[in-house]
Amino acid sequence: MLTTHRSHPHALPAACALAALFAGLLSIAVHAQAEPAAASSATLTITVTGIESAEGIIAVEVLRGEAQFKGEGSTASMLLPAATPAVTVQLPLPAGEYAVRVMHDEDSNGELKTNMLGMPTEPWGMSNDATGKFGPPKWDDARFALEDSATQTITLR
Amino acid sequence: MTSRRTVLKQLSALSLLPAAAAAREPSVATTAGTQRQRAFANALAEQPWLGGYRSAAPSGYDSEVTVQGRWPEALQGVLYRNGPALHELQQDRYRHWFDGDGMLQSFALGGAALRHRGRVIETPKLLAERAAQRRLFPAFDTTPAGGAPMNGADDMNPANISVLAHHDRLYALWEAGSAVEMNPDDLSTIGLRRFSEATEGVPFAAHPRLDRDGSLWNFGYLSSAGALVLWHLDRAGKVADTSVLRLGAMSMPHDMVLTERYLVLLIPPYLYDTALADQGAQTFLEMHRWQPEEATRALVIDKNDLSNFQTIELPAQWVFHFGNGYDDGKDRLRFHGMRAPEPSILTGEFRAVMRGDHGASAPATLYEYTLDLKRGIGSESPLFANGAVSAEFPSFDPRQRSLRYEQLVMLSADPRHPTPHGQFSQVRRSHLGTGAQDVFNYPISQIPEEHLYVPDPARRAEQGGWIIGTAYDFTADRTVLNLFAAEQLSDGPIASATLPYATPLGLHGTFVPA
Repeated sequence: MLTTHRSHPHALPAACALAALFAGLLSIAVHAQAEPAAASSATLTITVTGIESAEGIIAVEVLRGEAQFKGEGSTASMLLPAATPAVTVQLPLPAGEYAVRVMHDEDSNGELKTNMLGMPTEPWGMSNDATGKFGPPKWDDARFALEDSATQTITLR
Repeated sequence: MTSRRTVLKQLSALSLLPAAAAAREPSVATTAGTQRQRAFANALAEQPWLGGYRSAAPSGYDSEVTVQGRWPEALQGVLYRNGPALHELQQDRYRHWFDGDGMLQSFALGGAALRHRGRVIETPKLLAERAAQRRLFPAFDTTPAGGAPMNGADDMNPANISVLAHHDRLYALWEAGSAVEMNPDDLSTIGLRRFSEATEGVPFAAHPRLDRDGSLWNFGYLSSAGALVLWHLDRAGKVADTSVLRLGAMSMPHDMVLTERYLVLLIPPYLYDTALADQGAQTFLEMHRWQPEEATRALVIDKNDLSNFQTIELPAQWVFHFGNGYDDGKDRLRFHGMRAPEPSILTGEFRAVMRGDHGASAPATLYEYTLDLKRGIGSESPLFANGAVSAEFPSFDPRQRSLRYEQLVMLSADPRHPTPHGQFSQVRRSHLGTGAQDVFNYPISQIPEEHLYVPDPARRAEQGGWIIGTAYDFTADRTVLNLFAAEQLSDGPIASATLPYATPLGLHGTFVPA
């Protein structure tokens, strides 16, 4: 049988604009999801290092549990002015299992630049500096426990 | 909520990172690498032919030698060659022939003397590992212990397979990463080539095909995403068109066929499977599973609409290289390829030579393929009686590209002429119509590398040209360049030059006329 397939060249996930995020968070450096204050009994310190340029924005996203890691919402997201060689942020969180993703929007255009395959062409990083063994990092590579306090130093690459 | 989703979507792009071993886990690579180095050195003392699998001199090569014989005045230009050349670092020897860092060589030809140069390609990978004095990044089939974090496939790109000259630029090509631009004169490395913003870091495979209009077609694959990328560069090297085909299970296609209307790729059932990582797979090669019960998918892609393709099933097989291909009427394609029944050479011979051993692998031999587009069926047949002659490295008169043609040049091995090394030992010109064979048997002390058909511009296609190629003379421990009159191949070389050293056995080259 003759079969013809069509695939659309631009069907891959395209990078979406961060502009809305900038607009909504102009004066708010940290946006934490509404959690009862009493539950935020622990402190997470995140240092993003390996920043090669003070231009642009460092976007940080804190994910609690594997479901968030796989795409179901997030616990906190932050936009920080870039600085060399590192920026640090501290935030109160409930104890739990977390992962952190970061990226450097070098040209402040509100987008993580990607190539046509959706692979990032701007610096990014993951908690535990996870890279995954084959393909993308997995939850088990990036997860860490937060009890009273924890520090994650994430190197951009 | 919108804002958080946006960030998430952004960061989720990370899930499309290329498949690459991360090398964070301790592995046995260093110890095994040291043992391999010792085993290879011991075997080399007994079997000098293994000298072709030593590393190149890290400082490179530069010499001028006299050409013996009669060099044709009309033949002026440079033969460039590439191949894996640095197999060890600090006594830590790679496991696979395809792992080593590439070395670009140039043979400047055109008279009584030949100028040879060779320089290791200074990829970002090589520079980082040279500075660290140890292996940092995974290779095709070796994963070092305690490596560095990776950002993408170009971190491990050794630029070691082939060389491309197009739009006045020269590139060293790997298979799964960016083209690496080289200085054609002094062979210094210019750097990773970014053809456009959208294609930054997109794989550009090692066998692009030049079209009759001077434009260039290529592909690349991203195994973790099951994606095949198609490229079309115009004569000036600008990206004219691209497409991404989502194929699901992906293999390692190495070459493709170009006809007047179509691109043809074979996707053999040697399939990338992430589940293998949980079963102990440590390297990119080990992430592939041979599934002989599955078909080989022949993809026939419309050059005018790279998203439009037809799939025709062929029996399970493994093909590295194709000869020429052409439209044979309205709905039929014909092409030639070097077909092996399965891919055991990848895990057999190409690993064995690295530890100084012979590998038992299923050899490839010349097949003719016909694809009937209307009925959606393909057929294939071996062109050598009973398939006894093994063959690889096909080359043909480029004046006939994408047109019906009759002559294919290749390296071959014939069981009636056994050698101590078990490698290719002949250069062969096959007449595809009559079956006539014109064969030059190399001396038993020499291992030929790829030989290319170079046209004589004063004569007609397939009726006037030369065959040029190198060979490793393991008795003298020298690399030799030979030139043949294509139509009198079996008479032996009409000119040759012997370098004052041997360079490692390599892969592919290209001849650039002056």
